[in-house]
Amino acid sequence: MAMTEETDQIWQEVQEQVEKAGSAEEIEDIRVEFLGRKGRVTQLFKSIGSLPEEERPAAGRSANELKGAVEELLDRASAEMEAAEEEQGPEFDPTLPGRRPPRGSVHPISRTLEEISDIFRTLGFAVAEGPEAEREWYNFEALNIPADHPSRDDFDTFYLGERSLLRSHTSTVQIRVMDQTEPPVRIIAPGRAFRPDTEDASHSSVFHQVEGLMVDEGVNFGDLKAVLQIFARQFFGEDVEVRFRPSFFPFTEPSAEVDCTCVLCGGQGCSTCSYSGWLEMLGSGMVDPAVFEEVGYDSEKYTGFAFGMGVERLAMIKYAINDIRLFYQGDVRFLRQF
Amino acid sequence: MKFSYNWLKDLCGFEMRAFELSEKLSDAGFCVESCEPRNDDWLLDVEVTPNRADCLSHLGLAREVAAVTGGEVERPTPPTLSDATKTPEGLTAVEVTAPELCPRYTALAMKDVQVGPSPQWMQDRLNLCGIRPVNNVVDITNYVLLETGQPLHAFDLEKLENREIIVRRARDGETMTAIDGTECELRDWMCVIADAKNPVAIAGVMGGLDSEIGETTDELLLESARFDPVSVRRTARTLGLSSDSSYRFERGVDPELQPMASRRAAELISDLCGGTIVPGFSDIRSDSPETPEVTLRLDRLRLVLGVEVPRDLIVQIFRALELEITERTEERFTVRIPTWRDDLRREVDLIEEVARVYGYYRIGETTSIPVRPVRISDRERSERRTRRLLAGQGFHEAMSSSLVEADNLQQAQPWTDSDPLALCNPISRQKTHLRLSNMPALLETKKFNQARGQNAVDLFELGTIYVPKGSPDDELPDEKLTLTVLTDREEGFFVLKGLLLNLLDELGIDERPEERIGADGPFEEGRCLSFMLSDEPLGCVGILEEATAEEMDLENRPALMELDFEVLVEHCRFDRPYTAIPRYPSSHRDLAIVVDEKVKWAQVEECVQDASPEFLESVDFFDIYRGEQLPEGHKSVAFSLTFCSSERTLTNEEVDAAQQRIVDALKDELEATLRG
Repeated sequence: MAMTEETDQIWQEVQEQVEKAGSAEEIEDIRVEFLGRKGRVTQLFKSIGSLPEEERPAAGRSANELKGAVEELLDRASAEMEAAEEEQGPEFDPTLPGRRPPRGSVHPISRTLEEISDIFRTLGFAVAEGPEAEREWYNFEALNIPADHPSRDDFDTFYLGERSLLRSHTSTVQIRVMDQTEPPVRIIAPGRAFRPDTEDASHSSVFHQVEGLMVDEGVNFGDLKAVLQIFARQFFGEDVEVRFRPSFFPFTEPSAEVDCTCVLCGGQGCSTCSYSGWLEMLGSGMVDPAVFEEVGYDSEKYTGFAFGMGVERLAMIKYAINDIRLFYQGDVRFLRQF
Repeated sequence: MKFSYNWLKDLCGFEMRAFELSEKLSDAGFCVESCEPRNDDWLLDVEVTPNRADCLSHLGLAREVAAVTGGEVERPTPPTLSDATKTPEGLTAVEVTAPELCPRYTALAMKDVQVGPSPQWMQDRLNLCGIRPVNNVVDITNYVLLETGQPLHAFDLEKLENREIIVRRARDGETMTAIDGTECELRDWMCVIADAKNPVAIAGVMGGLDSEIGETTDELLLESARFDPVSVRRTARTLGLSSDSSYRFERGVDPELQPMASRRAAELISDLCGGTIVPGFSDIRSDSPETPEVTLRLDRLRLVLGVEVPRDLIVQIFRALELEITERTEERFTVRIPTWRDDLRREVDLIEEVARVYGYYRIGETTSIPVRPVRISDRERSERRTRRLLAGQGFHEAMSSSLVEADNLQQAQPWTDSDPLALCNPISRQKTHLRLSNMPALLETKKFNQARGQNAVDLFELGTIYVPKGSPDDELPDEKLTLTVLTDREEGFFVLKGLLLNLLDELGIDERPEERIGADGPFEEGRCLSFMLSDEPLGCVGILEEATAEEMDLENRPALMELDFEVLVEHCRFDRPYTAIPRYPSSHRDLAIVVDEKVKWAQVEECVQDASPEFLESVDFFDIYRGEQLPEGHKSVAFSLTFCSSERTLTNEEVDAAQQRIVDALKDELEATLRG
């Protein structure tokens, strides 16, 4: 019985040690401790000779069983350890940062232009184009802005020659389109415009505008209001309110300045909106019959509306950008944010 | 213009607080930009649009105030004059010899005037409206200007040579010193007020220093006139002078206002400066102002506004604006336009009057515009795809000014030999011309970033360049959309060449550009290429030349590519049918050949293509090796060949034979040997 107890104890100890072992090396140490020449199991076999004759066969059997069991356990443990060690290699650190494939960016002005033309496309407006270097007539006279008239004050212009200039607004495209097409007309004209303004945080001599024009029978001021309200809500968000204020543009009558509720403060008043709750968004109005006459449209039969918006301004409102020069400096720390 | 709230209240009895009035005026088209308390008054800064010169005065704006408050305007009623038909006593003559520049001239004379400071209440109002008080006479002329909108000028009568006034054209080269000290050189198209000898005022712009009212003034001549708006505007601009008077004359002054304003000023001068009016009043006019009738059709009003405005409201609006209704039927109103409203000549002008006073906010936002499908154009789609592709491959889109300096770098481009177009009136030395290339701008952008610690940048710009086609007055420049790319990546030149292929794939262009060594651009010799697509110049790619990099203090030399985007748009094909995927397996063979250094890859590729059977699918370069094992002046070029047939599985023998033919051809044509 004493032998059996010792066998059990050895078996217990082997199991405990294997449990604690963390590497194949340690398993080999256990093998030496128990199965080596001076190992505990080896000693057990040696001690059988000192037992009484009748106990020897049973003790021999139990020692053999123990040896077999220990060998099997150690072999299995050693194989597992080796497999694990092989698989793992050096320590894997999943918290190391990710490696980013290069990511560039689309300019905020391009994004804004794309967004504007997408919104108007859903309303049936096609994109039209006209030259940036323009004849004076398209920029002024055709739009009911006579020479030597104070209404030209708002349209200071870069000249290329006596009668050619860099367009000071994209309204020139209205005329270009109506010159070539009969009503109905529904277009927007995105593009660059130029004014000799001294550059500062809110002025750039080169900037972008989107002009819009719709001409058909029966187009009215309510249509203009509806279209621009849809635009504002699509562009800034559903809860934006729009306000129309009477204004003056030589090429529209009635004319309206359009404001939207300040996107930053939601109309509560903040420094961006000068505590008014409103931001100027664009200019608009019903096309002046004088413009229709210039392009040979029957102003009794057709009515229409036109609008023009500053793209930089809309992008500045949308992305809370406070300096227009950022758009044209190409600072990658700015660009990569888009 | 700056308005006094109390003054408006004096002229138009109404009960409404300043803030509420501001809102109502803004809703009616007179945007009140600020409303601030000033002592016991309020200062309203009102934006008066250029079509509403009649509202550049308190009396004028009071009409609008009446329309939005329901108040009534009370005009000042200065006493009438006796002997109003003869020239004022003590004046030799008042003559107008340039009636086309001065449609109306009135003159009134006063004597025994005591010049001194004006009363505090008047100074307060002038200060509030932004006009500096000078002395009582000058202050009164300014006060009446602010009140009625009529610019006035007072001359010291004793300083007028021969006590006479002639309104005439200036003589070329004649000079005059203005009140503000400006020495003016006059031209013969300008209008002046002159005495017997010299100009004493530039008509409608500014008075002369010599005849100004001073402490010693005893007799004065009061001018209340109307001058041609275009001439005043050109004169003021040419001389670089502008004044409250010129501002109003440019925009137009009521042609019937002059006598009243003159009498009003005379009344105040009598009251406040102790002067007496000399009998007589000159009123010389060649104009005949119209008070036309304009008809508003109610159905037209409804059609344009999309809303029904009640008839009694229309009547109310017309009354408040002093538009006398001369005819009224079920379908229409006819009104008489007063002399101060020359902006109202057409039906649509009346529609606007009704709309703005009625309130835009009362017009509903409803529409029933017809559905109209719009397809995105190939051009717009190409631009969008290009932007997304380049951004996806790590390039940032930049935008730069179209205006540049005409330096040598602008000429380093493949598009034109012409000089860039110059602006007639540039505002800065860096922005004098229209760009011919965007490569300089991207280099500047790189430099800008380098100065901010961003040494390696990948940039692109999709922007217009302006290729001159002669004088812009005869023919406008060709505006060409170009795609410009700059990279600081390793092997940037080849990155850009590869990027071009990705771009062609993205735009559905199967054709591959033809390459020519050499290009017009800021490139190092031998390290640049030109591209042709269907025999049209497509653009160029190259490594920046050393000299420019040094001149710009760039720390490295980036690679640049510039493409004619219009050519790409011409060739784009978005709905390209797919090419069937091969059903049979392909066979690959790798080859390494040793050739002379001078042999270019393009030659190797061409030779391989020419010697190959139809079933050669592709030949792909993978590297160049140079080393000791190779004969001097030689390099090893390695590439792989892919063979594939759409009809059957190729046999090893076929592929081996094809490979052998290729190897033989390379040996014959390029003296190539197989490596190891």
